[in-house]
Amino acid sequence: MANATPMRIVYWVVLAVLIVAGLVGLVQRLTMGHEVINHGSLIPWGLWIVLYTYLGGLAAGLYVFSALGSVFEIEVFKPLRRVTAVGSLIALAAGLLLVWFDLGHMERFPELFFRPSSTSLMGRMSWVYAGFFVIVVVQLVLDYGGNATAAKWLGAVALVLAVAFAGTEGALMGVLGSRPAWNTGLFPIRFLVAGLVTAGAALTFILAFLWKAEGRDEMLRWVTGITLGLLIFEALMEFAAIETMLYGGAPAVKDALNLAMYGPDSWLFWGLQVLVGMVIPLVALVFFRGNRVIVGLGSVALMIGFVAARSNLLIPVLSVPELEGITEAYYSPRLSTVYVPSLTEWLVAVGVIALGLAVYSFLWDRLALNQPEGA
Amino acid sequence: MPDIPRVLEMENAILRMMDDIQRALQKPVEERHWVMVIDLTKCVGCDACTVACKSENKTPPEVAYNIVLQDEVGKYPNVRRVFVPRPCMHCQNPPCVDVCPVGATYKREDGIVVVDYEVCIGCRYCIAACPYGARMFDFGETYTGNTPNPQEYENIEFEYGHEHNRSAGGSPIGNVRKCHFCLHRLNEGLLPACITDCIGRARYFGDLNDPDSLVSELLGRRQAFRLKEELGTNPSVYYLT
Repeated sequence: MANATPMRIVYWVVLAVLIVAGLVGLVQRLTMGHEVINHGSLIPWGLWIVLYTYLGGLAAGLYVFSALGSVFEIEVFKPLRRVTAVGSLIALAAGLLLVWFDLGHMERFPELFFRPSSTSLMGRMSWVYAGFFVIVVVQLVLDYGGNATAAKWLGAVALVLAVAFAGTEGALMGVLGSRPAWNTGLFPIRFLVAGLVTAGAALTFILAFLWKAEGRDEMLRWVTGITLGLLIFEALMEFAAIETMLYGGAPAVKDALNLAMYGPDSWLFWGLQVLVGMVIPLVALVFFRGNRVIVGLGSVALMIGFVAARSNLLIPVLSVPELEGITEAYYSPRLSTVYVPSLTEWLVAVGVIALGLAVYSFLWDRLALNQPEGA
Repeated sequence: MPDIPRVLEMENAILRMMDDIQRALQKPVEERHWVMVIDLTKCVGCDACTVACKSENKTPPEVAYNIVLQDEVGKYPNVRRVFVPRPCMHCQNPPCVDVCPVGATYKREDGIVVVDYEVCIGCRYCIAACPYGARMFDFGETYTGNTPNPQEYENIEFEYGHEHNRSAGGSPIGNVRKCHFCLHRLNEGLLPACITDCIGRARYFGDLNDPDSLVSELLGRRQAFRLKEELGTNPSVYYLT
C-alpha cells in the first residue's frame, strides 16, 4: 500500500470489516438458501436487485464519461478515460455479483449463456454484459500498451453496449404489461439518465477528493456542469412521470405512486430521493460550484439518494398485488405487500460494495488511474 | 386408459369430463386445447380446490397454485360475497414465457404452460411478468420444519410425472412454481385435483377443440369472461356468470 497514512489504514480496515460481514451474509445465503432473504412471491425482487439496477446504471454512466475521452477525444476528458472505464467494470461486476447471489439456483447461471431466450431481455443482457466486459478489458490493455486507435474503436463498440444495457435495465421492467406503472416508453430513458447522473456524481467525488494531477479544476468544472444538467433533466423526467401517473387514473399506477409518496416508506421518497438525492446536490452544484468540498459532499448525497430513487421505482410497484384480494385469499408471510431487507441481504450488499471499493482502490494504485500520462 | 365404472348416471359431469379427456388424449397433442371453466354462480368459496391442489402437488406453505379471491359487493344491508377461484390462466400469449431468460418456462402444444425445474435459474422475472399473480417462489419452507424435523411426506412430490425430493435442497426449491393443470394426472386420463374436489361442481375441465366436450358446450351456451382480457394474454381459464 503506497503512502500508508492513518486515514488510508482506517479506510482499509473498515473495508476489511465490511467484506468479512459480507462473507458472513454470503455463508448464510449459501447454507440457508432464500429462507434468509425477505422478498416474497408478490415482491419477488429486493435490495440486491435494487442495487444491481443502481450499479448497472453507474457502470454505463461511467463508461459514457470514459468514452468522452477515449472515443470522442474531448481533451479535458482524456485523462479521465481509465479511471472511469475501470470504475465501470467494477460497478458492473458488483451489480452482477448481487444478481448471482439473488438467483434461486446460483449454479445454473451458465444457462444464461448456453441457452439464452431470444424473446427475453434478460437472456440477451447476459451476452451484452459479457461482451462489454471483455471489450473494455481488451480496450484498457490496448490503451496501456499505447495502441490508442484500436482502443478508440473498441471503445465505440463498448459505448453502444453500455448505453444498450443501461436502457435495457429499464426496459426489463418497462416491457411488463402486468405492471402498468412500469409499462411506459420513458422507463428505459429514466434508467439511462439516472445512471449518467450517478456516474457524474461519482466522478465529481473522485475529482473533488482523490484526483491529485493537474487540470483538476477544469475537469471538475466540466463534470459538475454536466452532472447539474443531467440532474435537472432527471428531476424534470421524474416530475413528468409523476404527473402523468397521478392524473392518468389507472388504479394500479396511482396505488404504486401513492405508496411511494405517502406510504410507510415515504421517507425514502421525500427524505432520501428528493431531499438528499436532488435538493442538496442541486444547492451544492448551483450555489457552491467553486467550493470543491461542498460539491464533493453534494455528489455523495446524490449517490446515496439515487439508491433510494431506484428502490422507489421498483418496490412500490411490486407492492401492489396484480389482482385485488390475493393477500387475503391465502396467508403466507411470503405473500406480504411489505418488504424490509433481511440482515443477510444488508450484510451481503454492504460486503459486495466494500469489495468493489477495495478492488478499485487496489487498482487505483496498481494501474496508476489518476496519472494523466498517456492522455 | 382406465375403464371408468358407470356407477352414477351418464349425465354426471365428472364422468363426462373424464370421457372428454380420454377422447382428447387419443388425438395428437397439438390438436388439444385444455381449458378450465369456472362457474362463479356455483362457487361457495369453500377453498376445497385450494386444499386439493396443495395436497395433490404437495406445495410448501409459501406456495399455493390455486387460491380463491373474495370480494364483497353492495352496501349494507344489501351485501353479498363473490368468490373468484384463480389458478394459472395458462395464457395462449403468456407473458411469463417471453421473459424467461433460459426458456425454462414454456407453453406446450396443448396450451399448458409449464416450468422445467431442472432448467429454471430462479430469477423470478416470470413472477413480475404474470398479470395474475399465479407464480410463486419455492423458498424451501415446510409445514413440519419446526416439529423438529420436516416429515418425509413433505419431501417427495411428483409434479410433471417426475419424482422430486426437496429434502436435498434441490429443485423445486429455488424455482418458480405454478399450476400445471395437474399434468401428471392428465397424462393418466384423470382430471385435475381441483376439478374432482370441487364440492359445488363449479369447475369444469376439458378440450376446447372438441365440440362435443362439456367445456365447449358450456362456453357455447353460457356467458363467459376471462380475467384481464384487455392485456391480450388470451387465458385458457373461463368464468361463467
